[in-house]
Amino acid sequence: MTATEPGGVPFISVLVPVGTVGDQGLRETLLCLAGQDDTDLEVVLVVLDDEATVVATETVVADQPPRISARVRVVRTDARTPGAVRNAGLAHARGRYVTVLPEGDLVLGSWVRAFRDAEASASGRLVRALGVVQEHALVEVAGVPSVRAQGSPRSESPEQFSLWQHALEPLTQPSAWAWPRALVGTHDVAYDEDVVDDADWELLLRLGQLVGVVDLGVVTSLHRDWSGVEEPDLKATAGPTARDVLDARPLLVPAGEAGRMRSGASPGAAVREFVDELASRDELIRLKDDHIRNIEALLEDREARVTRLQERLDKRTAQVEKLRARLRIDAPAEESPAPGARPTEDDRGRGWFRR
Amino acid sequence: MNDTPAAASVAVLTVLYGNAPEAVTRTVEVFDNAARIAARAGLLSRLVLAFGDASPEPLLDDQQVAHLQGSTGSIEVTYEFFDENTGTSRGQNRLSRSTSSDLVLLCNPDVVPEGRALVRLLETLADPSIGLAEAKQQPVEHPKDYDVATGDTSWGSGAFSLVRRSAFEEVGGFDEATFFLYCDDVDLSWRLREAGHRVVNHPAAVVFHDKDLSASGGWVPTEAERYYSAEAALLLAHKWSRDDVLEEVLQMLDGSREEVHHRAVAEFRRRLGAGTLAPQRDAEHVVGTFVDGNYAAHRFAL
Repeated sequence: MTATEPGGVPFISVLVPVGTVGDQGLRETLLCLAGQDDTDLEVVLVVLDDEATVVATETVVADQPPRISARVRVVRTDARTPGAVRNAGLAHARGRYVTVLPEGDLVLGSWVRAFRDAEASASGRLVRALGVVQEHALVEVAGVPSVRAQGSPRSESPEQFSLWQHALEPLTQPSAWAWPRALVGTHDVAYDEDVVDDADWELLLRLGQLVGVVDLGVVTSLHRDWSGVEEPDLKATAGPTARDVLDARPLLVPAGEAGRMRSGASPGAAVREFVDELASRDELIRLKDDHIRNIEALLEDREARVTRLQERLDKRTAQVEKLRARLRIDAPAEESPAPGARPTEDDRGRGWFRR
Repeated sequence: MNDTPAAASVAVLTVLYGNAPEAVTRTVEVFDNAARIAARAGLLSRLVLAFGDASPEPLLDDQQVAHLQGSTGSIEVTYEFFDENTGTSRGQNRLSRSTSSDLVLLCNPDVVPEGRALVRLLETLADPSIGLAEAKQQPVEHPKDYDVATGDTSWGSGAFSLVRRSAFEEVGGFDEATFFLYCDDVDLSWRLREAGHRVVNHPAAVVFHDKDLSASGGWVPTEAERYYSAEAALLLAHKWSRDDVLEEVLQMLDGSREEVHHRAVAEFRRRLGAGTLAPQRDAEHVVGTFVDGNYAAHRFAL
């Protein structure tokens, strides 16, 4: 285990935006930091400046063991966009590297160590591990608010970083990568405060082009997909999405990417594949509709047949009733069998009883 | 009715085997913190962190032990070198006999409890119908199912479970003659349930218990985990009268390409031949739960 003395310059600054999933999520995130093999870190909790969130956060911090509480700083902000929240934390960061750990997300014990082991060979590049994603829900168990995993962890990150792939969608979760803080001074790097949704995705693409990426190839984090947790209403916030920003700027890809685009699914191929998939689903829906229509027709036919049979049955029943009425007039009443009477074994007498 | 005192005493039973001294220091620090919070909440009267060292050589010398004891303000620390590899079941039985407390906390040495984990479990055991309360492990949560309304579950993990000592002793502690490492906790839980005690999961009590994950997100077991979990699967199926499951597992392991599985089968057959398997119980299959190779229904695959 490795640790920097509290007060020294740590290897990594962990920015945790607080106030999205509740204090149980924050507890679980900080617990993962207490379990790190390498605690050469500082934690910057960026808390939205409302009293309830601040008090809840301070309670959680007070419950931390010294190895974490001595490394935590709480920064209050009235920033509203994800980028501005991150920059509020970045302003207080002192680590050589910076990463974002969303409240509620979890990391393995090797998380910091894996980044640090790569520091020397990274030579100022961004370091990227792999993350997995798992569905979770906020539940109450025996009346206590809790977090419950809902599905298997699944991998969404390609082992090798590719700019064009990441330009299509955010495939690497924020806690799976870290970037050198020196870039703040040398290249004026900061999170984009205008972006209303995924500021981490925008920065990953920007830094991927600026300094390059070193892949670590190991899973070190688990991102939680929350079900039942309200997503922020982006329509209420004026500004571009990360996709808008990425679409408006050129994408400079390193050597090797063009080959990957040709051999793999290029953006064009991805679109074509998507169109094919849609067509195939349309066909499937059409077949299902046909099938439903066939079943409905069959059902109608059967219903008509049942109606016809019912009518025939009613006629027969009426005829039988008439015959029975006639029999009651023409024949004397039958005697009831005596108790203990047994049926004959003679076919001719079957149905009759004898004493 | 409530047979747990408002402030209970707890003995933490932790068996060491080759752990780094730093890991032991971390355990002392995090328990000191958890005990401080539980005592302040009025739920804890005393906590003894009892280490039993099953390593070939002592992991700590007297000076290191004294340093650990001096580093805490809220707990007592004891250290005993066993001079034999006891495994978890025999080691924890031994530690339970050398301590006295209202409750025993089964704890792996590499587990880090969240500050409030102890409080949550102490609150849970205030219900006298509950014999064992387990914490939720992260970063990879165990997939076994539990009742969301009550927390009731098939079994509680020995990685971090708080057990009423009276219940632990009533069922004779761990079955150390049968289980060395894995499934000793499943067997203990089932015997507790057989004796009428509830076993519950409390997911708001959280502990960090590190795991490796493959690139696709699957659990990566170590060789020891593969061997002892295979051996324990056979022993558990036999003991809990599930000959059908036993036959199935034997067939699967016999057909496996993994050498550890063949070793597990050989050990089981050796015990069978020697007549040293545990007597069978739960003939009506009321308690023992075997679902798709697991000891509880699982909510998701891992």
